[in-house]
Amino acid sequence: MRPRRRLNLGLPRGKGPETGYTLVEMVISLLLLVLVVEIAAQLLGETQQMLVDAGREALDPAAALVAVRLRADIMGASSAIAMVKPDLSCAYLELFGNPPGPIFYQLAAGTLTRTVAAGGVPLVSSVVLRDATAFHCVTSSVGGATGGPTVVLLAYRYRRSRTRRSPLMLMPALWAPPREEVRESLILTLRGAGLGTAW
Amino acid sequence: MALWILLVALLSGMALVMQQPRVVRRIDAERQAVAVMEWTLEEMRAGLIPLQSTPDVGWTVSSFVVGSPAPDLKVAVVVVPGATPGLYQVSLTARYTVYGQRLRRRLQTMIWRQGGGPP
Repeated sequence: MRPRRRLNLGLPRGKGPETGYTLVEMVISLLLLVLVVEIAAQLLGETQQMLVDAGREALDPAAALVAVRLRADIMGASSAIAMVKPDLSCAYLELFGNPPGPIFYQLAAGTLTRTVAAGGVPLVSSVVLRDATAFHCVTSSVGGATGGPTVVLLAYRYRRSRTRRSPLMLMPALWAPPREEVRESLILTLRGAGLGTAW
Repeated sequence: MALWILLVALLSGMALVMQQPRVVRRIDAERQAVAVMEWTLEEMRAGLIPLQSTPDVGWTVSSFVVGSPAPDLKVAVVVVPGATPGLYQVSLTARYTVYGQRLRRRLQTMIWRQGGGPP
């Protein structure tokens, strides 16, 4: 049998027949190296993408906390006035019964703000929800103004980061918008003045 | 051998990472189910909807995420008179599906309704 030719890499020749590498061995080892480097690059890219996603999600509004704040203020109020604009969006929601003074919720410049006023002067104003896109408020009562408990119906929308369907690096044509719009609704009964016989 | 181990590790990691969208949707759906049950209770307290047992309240609920299909959320109500006259034990059960998985949330409370209980 004729011996295989070995690739001469300038290495010192040994005595045995197994010294050196064949061309096939070199090609296979190079392919394996390329595969490992490719996997490492993919992992690096995905890790970077996940870090960017996590950073973006950290800036998203805390929806659960917003709902808790709204719920506490509405349930604690004894009466409410919902002023509606001609386009049926909410000009402001005014809640009475808070000891320092009435609480106002209004959407301005993409931000839902909560303002506590006393004597017609704003005392404290804080941002409740950033990236808000819509705010609707309505009050309703079964027996009219002097009837049963008043119900406040709230609906608001805001933008948040969209969760990636796959961590893989996809073609640009398959990218979804990085943000999505979320709508939430709350229907709550005012309890500040008690619920009468309907608690 | 090393390549096989690497492959298995990558596939396991991928499965974990791909759970994230599912987890987000499940939390959203749960929050929405609780919110709808809260609506139901508040409207019952205010007298906007009757205080009575029903297999489905009949809310038309749109998805949390604008543009997504509406969830198949159904809220069942069971009203049972309590020991005290005028006091009712109300149990609400929300049933919904997230990625093909049937889920259920339950909420219980008591409502005081003098002379205006379930038929």
